[in-house]
Amino acid sequence: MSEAVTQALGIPLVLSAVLVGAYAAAVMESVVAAVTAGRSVAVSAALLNPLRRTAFLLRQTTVITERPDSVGWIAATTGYVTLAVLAAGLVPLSAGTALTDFSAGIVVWGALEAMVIVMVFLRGWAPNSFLSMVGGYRFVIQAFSFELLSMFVLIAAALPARSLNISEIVLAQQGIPNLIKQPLGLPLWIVVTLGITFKGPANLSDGRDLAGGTSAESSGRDRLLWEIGPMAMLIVFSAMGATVFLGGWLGPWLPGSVWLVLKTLLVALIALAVAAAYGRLRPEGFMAASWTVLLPLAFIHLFQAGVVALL
Amino acid sequence: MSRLSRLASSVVPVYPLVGAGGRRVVEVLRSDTRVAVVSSPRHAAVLFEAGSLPPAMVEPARRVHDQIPYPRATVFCPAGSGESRLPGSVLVEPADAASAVLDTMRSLMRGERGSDPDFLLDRPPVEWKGVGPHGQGGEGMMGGKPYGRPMAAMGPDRDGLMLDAVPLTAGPFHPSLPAGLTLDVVMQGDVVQEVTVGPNPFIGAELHGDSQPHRSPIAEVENVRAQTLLRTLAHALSAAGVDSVAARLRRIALNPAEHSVRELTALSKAVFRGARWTAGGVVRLEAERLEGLGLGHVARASGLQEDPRNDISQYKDLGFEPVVRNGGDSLDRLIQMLAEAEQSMLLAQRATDESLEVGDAIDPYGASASIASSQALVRLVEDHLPGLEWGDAVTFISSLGIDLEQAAVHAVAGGRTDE
Repeated sequence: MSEAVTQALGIPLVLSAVLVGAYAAAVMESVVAAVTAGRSVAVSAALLNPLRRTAFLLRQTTVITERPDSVGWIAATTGYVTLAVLAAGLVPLSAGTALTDFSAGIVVWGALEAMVIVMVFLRGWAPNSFLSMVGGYRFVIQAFSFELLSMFVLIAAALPARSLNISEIVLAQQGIPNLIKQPLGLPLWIVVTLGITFKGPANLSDGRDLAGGTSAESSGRDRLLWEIGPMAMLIVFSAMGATVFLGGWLGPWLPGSVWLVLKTLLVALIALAVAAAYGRLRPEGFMAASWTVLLPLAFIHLFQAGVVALL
Repeated sequence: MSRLSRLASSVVPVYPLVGAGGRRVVEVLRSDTRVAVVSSPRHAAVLFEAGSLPPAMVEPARRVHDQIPYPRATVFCPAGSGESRLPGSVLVEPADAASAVLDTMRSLMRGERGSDPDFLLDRPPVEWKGVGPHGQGGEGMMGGKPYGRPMAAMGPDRDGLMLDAVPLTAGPFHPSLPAGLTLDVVMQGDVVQEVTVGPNPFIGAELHGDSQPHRSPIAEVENVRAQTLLRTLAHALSAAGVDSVAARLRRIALNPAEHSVRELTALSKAVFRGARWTAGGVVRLEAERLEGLGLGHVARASGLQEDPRNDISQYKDLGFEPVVRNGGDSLDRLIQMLAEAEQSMLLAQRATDESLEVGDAIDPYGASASIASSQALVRLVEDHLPGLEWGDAVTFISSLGIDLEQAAVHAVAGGRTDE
């Protein structure tokens, strides 16, 4: 089969996988919410709730505010989901099996992360509403902080592989995953995951203090896409975390793709548990924590990874 | 009913309008998992009017109503003698409010019930003039709120920005502010530059509450105190995004007498962890500036041992000693609320036969229970909000435990109607 055909089939497959992953993340989120609230977990309700939300939002009208940037509004919402799908295409299911197996996949990942800032800012800008606008530029100031973290963490993960190719990074973890070799990596990655999906302590852009922030004026299909987007991004970032720190598809007995799914769900569960436990960071607090604690930790992490790689 | 409609009607997103006596009703509704209280009217399908709307809150209620997308419905749940409500609302009883809301949602999604029409016209009051280079009304249109639209005005230079001072009104139905509180603010970016607290809309309304002294057992008073504190703390934690811990506190607050103090103590770490990053370091209040104002937990969180219960022998016999903290920031005020709720539950359990006269001295509503102290809380807001980032402003206000309805009950009892 030609590469073009493979890639053409791969796009709907990746999209489907991302949507199924977003659904799984939504189910996990409601289970975590029930457990942390001390309620019994109704499994059937947890499985049905994302479908109920979808049905309701498909029935609800999509409100347009006065004089919005309509093109920007649509572009922002669809763009965020698109970036999640594109990022998912970089995650390999096995050696050389990814929608796109770039030799510098880490760099492409970084470019996609940077575009997320544009999408969320545009999302806050477009409705022509004050609280939405505040949500948008709060995300900008916090994103510059955690995306730097992301780059240091990913470069550190690439050092043992001596390659920016994501499949090579996985292969370099045969025997010992990066979680052991670089213990700071996964916790820092969880911070990045929460930031890019604006969850828990990193929810500065869509918080209740802003009456929903960038989502304050969102309803109907627009809101549905904006609820799917962060869940999709959460599962994709969890998959990347599982790939560069937990060995991705590597593991005994089970097929590689099953290992990847299990590890992805584990990372997603950890992120959701942290999100449920901690209140929203103040913007000032986020900046202070990022630049005075997390970034120095990332430097130490990178230095440690470099020393280990050289030895 | 189509499958889509059946699925859509199984969980109800609700936006609450808290009127006179409505706070208790909304808190009970929140504890029902079939109902999700949302943070924006745009996210809701049902507008839940809890309690009679005071006259000053009717117009804002109509604006909130029209922000809810179609299909929408309004339900009214009475919480006292008043019945001022939005036209077309479905009357439900407090005892089965959640079930009634769910039934309303089902009939809405099935199409059996038509969507509520708009109250307000959905077109600009003045035509777009198309005069200026961008189609606007020409030069000089800066500042104020012409035809209700906030316009940026000149302000002090902030990093090279001078045209970004925007006047806004937050409340009386803001999801993170106390019910009825209206703030007229001028914002530059996300920083509050000026603030004026609006008049208490509950003054002049038909109120649910009684400030006249009468005999009540200590256990009853302390259970009400614990309930009030836990609900205020839960509201603050929800504003901070820690819904799970807030849900646990609300469950205990439904009836503190049915829960053990140990259950509440077990939540203290979760409360601290959840609130620490949101409230730590936000607006530290010095004890000297709070002395003698009767600010309840706010004063005690800053180290003042002021508590009317100090001078009551029955409380001393129960082993009462005021709980104090020394930090004075918003996190200290929230932890103070939790500690005092624990203490109240403990006192309630110990006080099996005690009863005494209830008056202002041990009113369970704390600082909102006197005119002077509620005015002092408003002054704190007006003094400390300018210069705060908006999220910090919300956190600070949440930590004060403002209750405008209780303040109005006591203002009326005291013959004051100008609060």
